[in-house]
Amino acid sequence: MSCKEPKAFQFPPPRQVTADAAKKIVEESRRRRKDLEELMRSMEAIEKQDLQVRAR
Amino acid sequence: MPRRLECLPFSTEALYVEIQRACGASWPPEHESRPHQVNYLASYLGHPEAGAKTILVEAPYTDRHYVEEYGRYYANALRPPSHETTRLHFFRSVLTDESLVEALAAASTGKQSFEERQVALQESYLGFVVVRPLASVPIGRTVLATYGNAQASRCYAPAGTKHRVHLLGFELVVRGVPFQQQDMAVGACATTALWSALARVCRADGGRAPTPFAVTAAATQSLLSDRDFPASAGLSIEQMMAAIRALGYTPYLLKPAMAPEAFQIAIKTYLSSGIPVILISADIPAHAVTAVGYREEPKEEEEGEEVPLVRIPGEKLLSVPGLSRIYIHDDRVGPYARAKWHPPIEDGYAPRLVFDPYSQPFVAWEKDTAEVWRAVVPLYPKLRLSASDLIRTAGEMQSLVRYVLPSEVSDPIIDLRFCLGGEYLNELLLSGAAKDRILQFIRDATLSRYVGIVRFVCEGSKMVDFVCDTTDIARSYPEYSTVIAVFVYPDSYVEQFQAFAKDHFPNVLVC
Repeated sequence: MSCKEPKAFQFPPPRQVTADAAKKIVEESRRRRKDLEELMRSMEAIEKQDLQVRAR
Repeated sequence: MPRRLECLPFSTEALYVEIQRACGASWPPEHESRPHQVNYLASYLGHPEAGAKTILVEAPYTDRHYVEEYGRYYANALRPPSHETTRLHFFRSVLTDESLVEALAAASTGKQSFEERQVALQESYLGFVVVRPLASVPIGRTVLATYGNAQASRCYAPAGTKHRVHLLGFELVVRGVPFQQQDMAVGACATTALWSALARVCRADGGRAPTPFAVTAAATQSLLSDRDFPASAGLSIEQMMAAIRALGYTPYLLKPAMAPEAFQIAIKTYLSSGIPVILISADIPAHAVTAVGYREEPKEEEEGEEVPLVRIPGEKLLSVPGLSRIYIHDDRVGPYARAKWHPPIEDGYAPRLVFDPYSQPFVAWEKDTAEVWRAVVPLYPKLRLSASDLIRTAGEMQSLVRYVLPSEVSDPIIDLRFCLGGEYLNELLLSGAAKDRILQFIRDATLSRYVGIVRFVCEGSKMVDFVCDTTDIARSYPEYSTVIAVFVYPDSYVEQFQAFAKDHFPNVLVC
């Protein structure tokens, strides 16, 4: 269960996802995925010397 | 030790006296001479949000965690301490020895009367502290309830585990994450941090919590660079990870260096999911604490402050409410210690934690800063999808969500977490969304035991959930393959998501 309960909001009518729009959406989402993949790799890249630090 | 069951009015002094008596210490009367953990407990329990009114002393008490330390370490010392402990229970209501005797007499008259008395005790129960007979490190296994102010937007999801407490024939329950003061004989701060985190995840999965001794033994089983016992040398991150694996979980290690925003989002994701995160500071020597909760909004006295939004560089649209405060089990301080999360001062630096106490006795500590240098998360082995995979999926789906939303609606906020598939369905049933679509989702969606949820929220209202399979990593091909189902909250938006899904993720249920 989420820690914070959302409030009520009236959503306005959505924009139509046309074939052209879908194409642009896919292109943008590929670019985002690629950028984020690089960033996430940097968060997970652990060097050997990091592991030897001792917590007392 | 003769059996002692006694009710005392709660006060800081009464607590000091009882802890001293139980551990055999004789601290000078000055506040500064007492262990920080004892001062902290007095402050935590005396705060109006806990509101302790009564201490119930139960002695002797046999504590599994201490008995194991005793048997494996203290028993063959020349001057061993006692193998028995004292357990102090705390209640919000006023209890006296007489009222307790009356409650017991009434409870013995029938099932209904018993249940009434049990409910009355339960309603005011705040948890317990086991006091070890060790004057230098008296605070043993401690499970206390979290503060319950409904106005504050705190999340204590890792503290949801029920701990059953048997007292005078009654069964009471306290929800919390176990805490204890480190005893260098059998464990360092890293052991204690691991012990708290593993107690939560093991219990949540139906297992038994390991003892501190078992954690040190697991950590030093095959990687040894100093003595294992006494454990004063501490544990390396490698050994901490080995302990997590040996005790049935998978360690996931993160560092903030190049991506402090994503690091903060990942920590928040695990905490929202009820999974504690072990934070390792870059102090010398390094120190480890267990994060068990957070608060998004600033404190009441900081009302002018904005809720911090965390945005990943280059991803202006990917916003997650940040951490205003983080609650940590720090064996140098106490359980649920409040700390302020400060972003790194500049690129390449780590985020910092500053202890933010609830009351004045800790003023001297306020300037203490710890750089959060690494985080280790004990994960259920089949939870293969990571928080970074969820962030990636959120970034991927953001383009579609932003397109569907008319431009006058501000950018959505993202909420990321893992939960049991069954819990998600239960949440959906109570969500107030269209009943026919909820029923269709429940009937047709095939979910993994744990699911990842990427939720987009607009102006405080749920818009869409992308439900992700957690039994595999995120793969770049086929595209969107992490998503196994989509639930759209506003009826009028369903058709647009279905139109996109038809060509790009045709096998995914969208309703």
